[in-house]
Amino acid sequence: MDADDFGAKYLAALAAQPSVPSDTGEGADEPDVLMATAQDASRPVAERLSALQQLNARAFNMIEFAPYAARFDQMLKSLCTDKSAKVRLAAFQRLGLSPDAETRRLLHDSLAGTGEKLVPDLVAATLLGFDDHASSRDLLAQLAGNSDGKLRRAALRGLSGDPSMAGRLRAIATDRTELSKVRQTAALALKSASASDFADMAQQLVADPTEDSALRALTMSALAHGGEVRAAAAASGFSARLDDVAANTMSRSLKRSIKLFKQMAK
Amino acid sequence: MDRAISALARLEAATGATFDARRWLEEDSPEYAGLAADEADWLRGHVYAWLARHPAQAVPLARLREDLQTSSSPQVLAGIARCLRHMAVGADWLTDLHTSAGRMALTDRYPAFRFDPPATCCAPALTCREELEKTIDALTGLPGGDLASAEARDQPSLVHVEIADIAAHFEDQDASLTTMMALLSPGPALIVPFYTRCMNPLKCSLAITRLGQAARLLPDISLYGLSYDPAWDTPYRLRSYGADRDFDFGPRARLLRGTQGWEDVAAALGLRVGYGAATVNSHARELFLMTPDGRCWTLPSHWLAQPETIRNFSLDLTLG
Repeated sequence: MDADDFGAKYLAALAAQPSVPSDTGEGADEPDVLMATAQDASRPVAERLSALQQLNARAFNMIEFAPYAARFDQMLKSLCTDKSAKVRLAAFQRLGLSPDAETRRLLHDSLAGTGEKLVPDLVAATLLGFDDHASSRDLLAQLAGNSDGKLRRAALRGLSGDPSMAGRLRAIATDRTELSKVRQTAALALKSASASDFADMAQQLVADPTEDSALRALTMSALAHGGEVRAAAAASGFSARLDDVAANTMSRSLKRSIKLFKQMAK
Repeated sequence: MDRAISALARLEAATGATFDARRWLEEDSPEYAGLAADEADWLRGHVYAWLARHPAQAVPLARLREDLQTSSSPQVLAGIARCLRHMAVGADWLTDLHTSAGRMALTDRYPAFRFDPPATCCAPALTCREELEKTIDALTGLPGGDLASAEARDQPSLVHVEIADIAAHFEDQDASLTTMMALLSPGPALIVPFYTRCMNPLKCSLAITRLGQAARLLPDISLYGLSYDPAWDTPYRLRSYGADRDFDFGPRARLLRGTQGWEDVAAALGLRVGYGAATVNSHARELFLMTPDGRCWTLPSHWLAQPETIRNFSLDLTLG
């Protein structure tokens, strides 16, 4: 999901949320009471979500929350199969920050269609992709081949932790029949999977005036800001070729990134 | 996860008199191949808990102690706690148990071992930390026990490596290429395998920090960190990782990745590492001392915190 999309969706969700009294009595904000509220399927979903939100805030103080950590984790796991889709989503979003084997299994099976559909595929793919060990590589690679739209882009992002995916990511990033956003996502995933491949590809893209302008600007910006790829491009004499590129483009963002690259590469 | 569950089912079915579960605790066991790191921890925790229920099985105490001292997985530590409790080891394990309990104070959870009966009000489920505390209670007041035997096995062992036969190439943090022969030509070398994506601060991060700190006391020994994850650990990542840990790079202090023949090196050293879909899923702490004539000692990993022990050992080799 793009940051803009996410921001708009988040604000809309906040506006749509019914107001829930944050304090309904003495001790109502204690973790035990909040956990009981969150687990109580007879309560309104908004009230349960509010309790979960307060628990997440309390858990941020790990030392104070330590006596409740195990029960909170267990409760969240039980909520992964709750009847309410919103409650399930809230539980997975918390557990997905550092999923253990059981949480990963539920997400994997939901996404692969081999188990109950517990969260939207986009959420499952995104959470499984938050893993720099690329543990769910096989499923995400499959989705990168046979899905589309935001789901495909989430799958591509999840491949960034696997250098063996570099060839495939590069092929998508350089395929002119692909959508620009898909190519951009594949290019950024490649930057992490293989800096040398990215640097080589980006130089060709940036130098090609017939290429997609957004992709050229994005890869140039990545070259300017990323230490490893910048060094690789600078080592191959890329700076000297950039004057022509800057003179022949109308793109202000491309010109800006070229200027920054030349400053940083000095 | 299905593979981890299947592996556990095979373990539970393996009740024959000749069955030996020790292989299930080795990081490079085929049972762990392809698993995610958290799945490997899940299985490893279950193996320890399984050993607690099968007292006839021999428990590799040195390996168990290594996990007790370094694992960041609450489930693995809970399995170890059960194992030690059922073995009724002595009070000399208490220090490690207390340290482990403290380590997981903020990340406690329920181990949820699959073969456990459902919790009841009379027998409530214990959290991982409570498993450790129950073992601490059980061992407190007991006489010393088997710790000495765990330490006794923790001695240097020698293997011979035919360096000339290893046609491996390496690249260091400056992208300089080299060979095993060239790396060993200045004299003995201390080799510490690691990888930059390791999530356990007590393993790779600490090992490279200590390797850097050892330099002052070991001027006659080359110090090399060798990546388990050569495709990911590019020179840039190696340099950043070392710099963040005050590793003082120099001709004899380098972080390396294999660019050719890495499998041969891993096999020659007998590296205790397992791999998942894309990278390492489990590894031990390892420490080697190699000499130009092809002798290679596997040293106790905790010697890295005692450079003077390594220096004395190396001097004995030279004099001997």
